[in-house]
Amino acid sequence: MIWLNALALIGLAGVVLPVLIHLLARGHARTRRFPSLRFIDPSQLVPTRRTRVQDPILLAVRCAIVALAAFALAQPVLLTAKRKRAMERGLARAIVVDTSASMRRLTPSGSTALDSARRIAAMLAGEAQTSVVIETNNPAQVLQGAAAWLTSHHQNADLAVISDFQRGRLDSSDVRMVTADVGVTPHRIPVASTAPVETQWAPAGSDSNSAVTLLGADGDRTAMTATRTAAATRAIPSPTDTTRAVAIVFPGYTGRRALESAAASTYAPWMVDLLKGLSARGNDVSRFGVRSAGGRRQLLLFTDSAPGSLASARITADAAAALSVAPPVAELEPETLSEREVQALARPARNASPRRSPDANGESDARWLWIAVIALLVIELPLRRRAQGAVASAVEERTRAA
Amino acid sequence: MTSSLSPTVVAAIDDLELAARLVVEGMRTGGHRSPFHGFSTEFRQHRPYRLGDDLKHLDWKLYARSDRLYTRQFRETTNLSVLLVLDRSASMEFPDSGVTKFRYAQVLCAALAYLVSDQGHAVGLMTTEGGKLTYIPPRGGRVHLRSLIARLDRLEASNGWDGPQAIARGAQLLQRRGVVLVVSDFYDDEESMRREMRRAAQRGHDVAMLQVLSADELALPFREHVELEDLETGAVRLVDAARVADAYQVAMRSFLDRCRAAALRDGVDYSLFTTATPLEVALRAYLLERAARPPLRNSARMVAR
Repeated sequence: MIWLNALALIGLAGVVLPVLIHLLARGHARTRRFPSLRFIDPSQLVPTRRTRVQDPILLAVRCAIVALAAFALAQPVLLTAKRKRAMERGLARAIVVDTSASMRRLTPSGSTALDSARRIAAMLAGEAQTSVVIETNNPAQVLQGAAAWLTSHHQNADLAVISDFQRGRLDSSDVRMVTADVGVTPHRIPVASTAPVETQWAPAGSDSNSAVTLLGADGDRTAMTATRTAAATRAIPSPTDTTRAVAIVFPGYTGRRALESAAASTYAPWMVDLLKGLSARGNDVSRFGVRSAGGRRQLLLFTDSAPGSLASARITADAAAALSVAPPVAELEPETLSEREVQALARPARNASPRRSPDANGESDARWLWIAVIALLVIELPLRRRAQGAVASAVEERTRAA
Repeated sequence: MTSSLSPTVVAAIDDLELAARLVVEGMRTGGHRSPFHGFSTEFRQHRPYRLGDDLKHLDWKLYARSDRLYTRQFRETTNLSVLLVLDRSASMEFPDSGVTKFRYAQVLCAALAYLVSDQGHAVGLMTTEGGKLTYIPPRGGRVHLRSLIARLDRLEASNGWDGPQAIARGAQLLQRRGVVLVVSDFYDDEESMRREMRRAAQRGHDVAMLQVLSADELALPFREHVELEDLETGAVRLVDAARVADAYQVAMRSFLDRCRAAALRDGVDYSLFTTATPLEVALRAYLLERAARPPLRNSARMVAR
């Protein structure tokens, strides 16, 4: 149940009025001078005031009238499934999904924040009559465009932003730029861990576990070490994608021919990018191919450069840099907005609210309460007359009898 | 048909003598003759006529014989001494609005005094003032009547009333058999009051209980909760009038029955006056009722012709 005019519930305080009037009226019993109290049984004296409700039914009816009137003024709406659908029917929603690197972190449920965001986006899109999902790594930039799209639909407009709300990405000034006719609803994706998901640090100098494997003749081991060292001076060690691997095959490697013949040509997109980069920079790679090694696909770069040469060091450095798809450290362990700051971003639409017209007639359920109030008033009248009549007839009867 | 003066109108007349006269005159206009008799004058002496003497008292026969003007003088004789015992207790100052019991009793006493005096009887008053008994001996005559009524008019209800003592002392002070009219609500100690009235009756006095009550105290006409302040003790009690009314009426009826039964048993006249009843009507009814009863043995008696 929702209240269209919840402020009117303050009127519930008026329930105490009948009780107060009842008690105060009893408290101010008139003082009458009387010749003698000798004929009044002492056991029938009222010991204290305000201890007994004289007509509880009448009092209850009066309290109920006040309470029901307060409820009716608050315009309650019982949210049935049908009404809920009707409420959502006229809603246009633009959903902005943050795809920045920080959204790759895990949520408490184990999925990545981005996956969770996409699921929520799909759910929000299903609730609205018209919706659009915008994925961007910079939500602040697309807000105005999304708002423009919403205002063009002349419906209740809701702009949903799904993000981990990394500080600096989106703030209240960005929300203020959105037209007031559009409501803004932030949806925060909780992130459980700040550790990177898809990358790991490659141990420096290790051939076997390195993402970049150097394959050469046994006599070239010293030269290959020099090559790695030279490459390390060019490329800053950074997180690498563990799903990516590169092997650089030097001329003296004994299994070179076997590798060349077994190499496949099914390249992943990152491999294509790497090869294009190597080609652009004029690296001496004569052939290339793909093989499976250690459960992952490895890009084979056959070079004619000798280990320890400057060219081999450049190829190694480029390969290492290509494997490193991880964002900067600041992206992986971001500072996020507090919950209060996120809630401060929320803003209802100025003119349109989905709750304004809960049903087809645009009416609340208050009319039923008003009918109940009228019914109680009809009941209250004979109750009051009965109470007054009982006293009056008793007095009249006593007078007549006396 | 004669119209009666309402108690409110009578009580509103400041001049108590006038009010009493109106009551008595109103009572007489109903075709009833005076209920009192015994008016008699006895020739006493002649004295020379003086300017201003009533011409009807001139002895014209003596004037014919002696050619001198003489006025006849009479001595008024009274048959009865009537003592009014008026209750001045605070409980008589009820109700707050309209005619109080005390004012009603004042007019009743004044009317009785007027009536009695008009019939040549002596009338006196016994009451209390400031806690002390005040006694005006029974006498006849206009001057005494006016003095008594003026005294009555000055009285106000207050505490310090001792009914039994007033009755006992009044009965003592009546030198011969007389009439003792006790005007009260009889809320005093019932046993003491009855005892003293019985003693007065045994002395040969004609004793009458004229009980004055208001309609309100007979019916307890209050609604819901009301704080009742006892006029005599000052005690205040909150009562639910609707609840206590029935028991109150039973107790009140029982009290009235006791008063009536005790009066009958002790040979005392009893009459109930309610302040809602026009005084001349109530007084006429009382006197007719009284006249219809046989005179009590060994007691003085006022009878109607």
